[in-house]
Amino acid sequence: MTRAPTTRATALALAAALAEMRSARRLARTWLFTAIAVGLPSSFFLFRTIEHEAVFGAGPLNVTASPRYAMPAAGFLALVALLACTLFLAFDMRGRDRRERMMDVLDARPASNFTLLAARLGGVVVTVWLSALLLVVLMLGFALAASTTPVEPLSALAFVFVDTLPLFVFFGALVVLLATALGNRWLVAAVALALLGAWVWALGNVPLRFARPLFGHAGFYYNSDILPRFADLPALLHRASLLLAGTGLVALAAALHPRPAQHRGRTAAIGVALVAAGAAGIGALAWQAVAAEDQLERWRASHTAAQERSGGQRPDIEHMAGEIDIAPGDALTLDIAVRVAPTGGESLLFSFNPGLAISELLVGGRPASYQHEDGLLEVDLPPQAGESVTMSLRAQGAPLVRFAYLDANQSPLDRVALDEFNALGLEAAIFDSRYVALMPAICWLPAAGANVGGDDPGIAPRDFFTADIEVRVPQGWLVAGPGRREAVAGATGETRFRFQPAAPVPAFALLASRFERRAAQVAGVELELLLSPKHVSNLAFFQDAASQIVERAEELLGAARRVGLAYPYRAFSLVEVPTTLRAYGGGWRLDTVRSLPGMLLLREQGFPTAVFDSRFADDKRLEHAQGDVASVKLKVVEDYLNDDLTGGALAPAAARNFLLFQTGAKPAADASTGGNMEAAALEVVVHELATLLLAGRAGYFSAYLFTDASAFGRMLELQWDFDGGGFGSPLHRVANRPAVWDRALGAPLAALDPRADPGTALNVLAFKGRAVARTLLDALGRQGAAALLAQLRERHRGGHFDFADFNAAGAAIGVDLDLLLGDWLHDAQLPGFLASPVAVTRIADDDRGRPRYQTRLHIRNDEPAPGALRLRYIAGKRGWGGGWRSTDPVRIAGNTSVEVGFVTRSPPFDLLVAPYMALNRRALEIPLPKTRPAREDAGVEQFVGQRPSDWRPDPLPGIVVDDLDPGFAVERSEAQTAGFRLAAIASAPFEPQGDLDQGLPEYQHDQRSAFWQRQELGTSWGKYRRTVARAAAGDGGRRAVFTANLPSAGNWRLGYHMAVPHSRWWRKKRRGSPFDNQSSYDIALEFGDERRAVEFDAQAAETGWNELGAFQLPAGAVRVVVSNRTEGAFVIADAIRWRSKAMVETSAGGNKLANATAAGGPGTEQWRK
Amino acid sequence: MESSPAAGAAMIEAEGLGHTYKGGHVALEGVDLTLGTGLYGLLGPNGAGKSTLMRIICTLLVPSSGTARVCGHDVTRERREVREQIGYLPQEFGAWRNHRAEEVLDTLARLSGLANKKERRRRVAETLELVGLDEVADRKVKKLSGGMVRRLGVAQAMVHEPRVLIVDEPTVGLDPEERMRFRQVMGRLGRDRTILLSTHIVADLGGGCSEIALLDGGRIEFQGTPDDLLQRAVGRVFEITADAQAAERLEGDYEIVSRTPSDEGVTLRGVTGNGLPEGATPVDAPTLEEGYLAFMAVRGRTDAAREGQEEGGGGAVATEDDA
Repeated sequence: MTRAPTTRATALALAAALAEMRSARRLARTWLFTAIAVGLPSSFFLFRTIEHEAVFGAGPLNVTASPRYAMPAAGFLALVALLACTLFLAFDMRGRDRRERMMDVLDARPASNFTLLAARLGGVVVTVWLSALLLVVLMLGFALAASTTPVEPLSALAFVFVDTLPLFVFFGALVVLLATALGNRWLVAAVALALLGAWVWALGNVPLRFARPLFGHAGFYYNSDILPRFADLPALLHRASLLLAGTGLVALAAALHPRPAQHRGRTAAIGVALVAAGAAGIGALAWQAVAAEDQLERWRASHTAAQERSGGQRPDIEHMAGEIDIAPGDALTLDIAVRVAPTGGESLLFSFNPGLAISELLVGGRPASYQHEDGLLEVDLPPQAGESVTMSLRAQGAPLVRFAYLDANQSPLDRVALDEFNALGLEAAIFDSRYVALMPAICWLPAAGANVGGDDPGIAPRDFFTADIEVRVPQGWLVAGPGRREAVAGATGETRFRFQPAAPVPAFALLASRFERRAAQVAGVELELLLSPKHVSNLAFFQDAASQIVERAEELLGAARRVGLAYPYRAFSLVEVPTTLRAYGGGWRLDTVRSLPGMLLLREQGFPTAVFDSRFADDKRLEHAQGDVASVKLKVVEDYLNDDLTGGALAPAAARNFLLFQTGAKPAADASTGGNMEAAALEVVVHELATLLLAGRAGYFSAYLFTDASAFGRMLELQWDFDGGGFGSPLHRVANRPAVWDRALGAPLAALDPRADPGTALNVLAFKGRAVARTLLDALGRQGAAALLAQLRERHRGGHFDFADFNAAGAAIGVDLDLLLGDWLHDAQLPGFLASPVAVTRIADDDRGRPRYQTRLHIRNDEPAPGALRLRYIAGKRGWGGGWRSTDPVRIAGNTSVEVGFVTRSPPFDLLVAPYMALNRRALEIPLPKTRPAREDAGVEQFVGQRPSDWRPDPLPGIVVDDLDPGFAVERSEAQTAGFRLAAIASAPFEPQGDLDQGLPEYQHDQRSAFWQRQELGTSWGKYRRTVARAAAGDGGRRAVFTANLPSAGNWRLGYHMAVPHSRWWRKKRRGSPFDNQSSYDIALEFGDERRAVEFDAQAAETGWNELGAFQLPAGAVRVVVSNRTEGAFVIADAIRWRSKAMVETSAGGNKLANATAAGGPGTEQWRK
Repeated sequence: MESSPAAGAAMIEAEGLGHTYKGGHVALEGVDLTLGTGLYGLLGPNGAGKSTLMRIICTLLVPSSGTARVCGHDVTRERREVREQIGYLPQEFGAWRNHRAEEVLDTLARLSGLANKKERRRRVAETLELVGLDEVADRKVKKLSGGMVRRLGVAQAMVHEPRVLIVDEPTVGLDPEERMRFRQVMGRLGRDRTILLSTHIVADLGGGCSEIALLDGGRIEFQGTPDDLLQRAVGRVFEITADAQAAERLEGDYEIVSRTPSDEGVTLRGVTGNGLPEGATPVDAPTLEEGYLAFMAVRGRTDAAREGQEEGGGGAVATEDDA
């Protein structure tokens, strides 16, 4: 009783807190929420661990799947559950006292209201927080016990101490205040739950630029072993503000507390002051974010205006030399000389990082007048400046890493905290005491022109220059840059390196840290791997495959050299970068920036931290693998590095060095010949060709892949399908979509407008570019394709080329690219292929008496645009040596036919006509005779290749309206939309989520959707594509309408084409399923004012044409209306056919056709499709 | 108002104390009270204002008028100091159901400022033994009987050895043996501290009671020693033996305290505010209960007094809303 008031209050508070903890501990609700808060995230972590260690460890899915970086997602789950726990413990503290008749006893104790409330809240918070601690201990303990990858420790600590504790205090205080003010605990719970829900909603919806200052979760942003961080200053300030505000809320609650107390006014004033102080802290952070946003906006405006002022003209930097001193995290010092060719005007315009202060700037050795503002460096040229001037510049400072990608149409700051998109990194560059990544995007060296448009060659073609730069870093540090790093003698305590790349570079990046290094000399090129010392376990793991890896590299580099495309630099470095480094660039393309001259950046969430053991844990798997363990490891590492979907795939990254880092496309000289996309499209084709040629595989990267919530699932899907650029490649899966096709057909590549749906535009570019590249490679062969690229490189090294230059390079090697490819850049039209029935005959045996079989068929390109295709077939015994083979490319001019033949030793049993890109969209399956020709047909000569043909498909068997024809439409009756009834809402179908496929939603395998959807079916009618419209059974309000114009009045016979809606397997599996039932359709003829019902039982119908009867009809428009009213599960609208009596009689094949269709399916009419 | 001087220094003082609830109900009015060391009984029918008075003294209720001081500290301006001096057992006490008896006591001892762990453990053990709960010290409250919980309530009020103990209806729910033990404890504690005990069971005040304050209608109508109260009852307590028919009539006309069948019929003891019934004999040594009833009978408040006795609930309990 004689102790100091503070000590006494502390003792009382401790007593109340401990009692509250005891109470909370013994409440069932605490354990319920703890079970949720620990169980869910633990399961999530366990799942991640299993994925990582056993399933996907050796796949590129590490980008998001590693348990090492699971804390943000796991922590968020726990955080929500524990906040709910806080709520349900704090919302009735006094209510519990009242119910347990302890209120008066406690109130009669000497503790103040504030002490009691604060202490009891403290008890609740500590109880809840212990659950968070338990979660982290379990996660770490499990990893320790099971020897699996543990969660990154500092992110765990940040979660426990920064993310949870202050938030629990604040939210608990809010609940206590609500409980005091509102009294009714259920009302309190409702209000607090609404606030909690709003918080969760805000976290999922407020962009990162504001979420960071407003919510301040440390663990959400820092997940890196290279740059581990407990919490940055803003996060700590935010949390301190929360604690202040929370304390203020408790003070307010104490002032409002019903228990008689002294100094209520003073307590309330303190509470208001504390809440205001907390709000001010968070407000300051928000203000800072707004100011940063303003600054970015100002930079953006300045650079956009400068770009417009210059009319796209940029000075040409020719050479850069000098010294760079890196004091990591502290300052960057430049002393450089830049030789530059002005492009007219009285000044030179550069982008130069605004964080670097220029101390001296000379032009031609004399001080020059300049202005450096908003990252724009404008230097006045002296009079009579020559063709080249040398600008010497000294500058120092810490570069601002936000000064980058000013024109990017996607920014991580626009995304929400836990967005998959942010897995691609947040920071454009890193200047930290532990790691430095000086990326070209931040213009830490002067870059020509404004800092916008640099990611689109149509706006700003890459600027190539030679370089000779010396770099000074702290002792023990290594630097990766373009070309080989050469050690230079330096003063004690410093390390100096020189970079003098053997060929021009379009960008100069430096990455420095205390790396662990492995290197090998391969064919005169130094291959180097620089990893964080924390991530060297895989080095040991792949040690026994080192020689195979070197051999493979030698093989690839040697092959490139042999075809005339030698590697241009003297070194190639694979450099590990922190997770936080942004992987994609700016503009609309958001192209990868992980590929730099002479370097590939490896994200730490990829190869460096991947677990490969599981691949080798199973001896049986190894037995099945071809070759020894080392060979298998080579295959594993090669696949891993190439399958990276986050912009770091090895093959395309390496291929860039051979071509796109040596020369670049430029906009057409004559702007009327193409839009801005011409240069981008050219680069895509050239890059794809180089990648396919040099690495034998292709890559795919689109940052847009990560912009939707299903990114991870899609990547998973893609990973399974990754086969190196074949028909199941990621590109094919992502880009072979109705939306992409519609876009591709809507405009030529050169005129593609990327502003609307840039992700799809990128896919169009990649999809069409890949088709052109593949056509080139197949048509020219490896030598021819390499010669074409070599020509391009030699002619334009360090400079630029356009479409005419590209064709000229082709002409130089004797290839008429225009004839081969058509005007693929400026023409949106595509070929459309029709195939005749196939003939397989046995021809004379070969010299060794083995049988030979001749396969022939005619193929017509029924569109004006030329196109190319291959025949793909399987011959031999099924399952043994029966892999797919291809013929040489077959080029078919517009509106012409060819006959194609090939010879095999056994009859083919699968045959595809596979266009590179055509209106058919997919390969045509060609039915083959079921019986093997037993005898030689002496009249048939061997024929391999292609020859002109006058084959044309038979005319259509009447007036046919297909679901893809203009005469087809879908309608919806007004009756269905009128009124507002609950039942109608309940039964309303969900809007289809898929692409629009030529006007109808793409079929999404939702068999109950009442919308008419377009489904591709092999048994359906169609010229190039085989599709049907289908809708689930409904009330008849949704109708499909086939409108035909009959040329004359008379008796017309109506045919209705039916397709089998599912595969044979499906039908067998789901026989009798209510979703598979067919029944009578509601079909009506409408002409003039008349309407006539037509009977049609789909259940009894044949696949193919079905006759629905003859009708006396007038000339003109006749509508066949099919509604979705049926007793079956769904309705199919494929095609209708009108035939007059004369047509039936004169078309000898007419009835035969129908019979043949009924008997053998439409496959016998393959040539029509 | 009748009063007698308090024994020793004043531990509880009230001057003109009054309290009016929000609805306008006057619960206390002009209460003057001075209590020194010793056991003080607070008697009165339901709604007399006993609990209101106790809650004001315990700082749980702000008086509408007048002042009150505990150990010299004003109950409205020096709440913390007052709370440091008191131990309070409210009329309704339940304790945290999921805590063990020992834990409840330990927590409340700490909350009363008993910070020294060793000392506190000793006090908790002693108090538990004193109230006969040492055997069930580690039993959770929800497993205790009603009487045990009541004893725990008593224990929590005195575990920290307060100078002033305020107990509101402490013996409700106790069996006779426990009540006897309680009386002994109170008597012993009352030797060196002030105990203000409100009860409807007048006998519970026991022989150790220094003074009695009799509250009715928010006013203190009597304050004095038990003997003073008994003295006032002499001549108003009678005994009469009658046949059954007469006994029935007497029970209708007078406040009968006890009824004992005898050979001659029924022997009745009762109180009267006026004259004795015909044939009745005045009782020379009335009990305290009879003294209380007689006092109330004089004031025409026999029914109220009897109601309180029968209900065993005492006066109204103020709630937070009232505050």
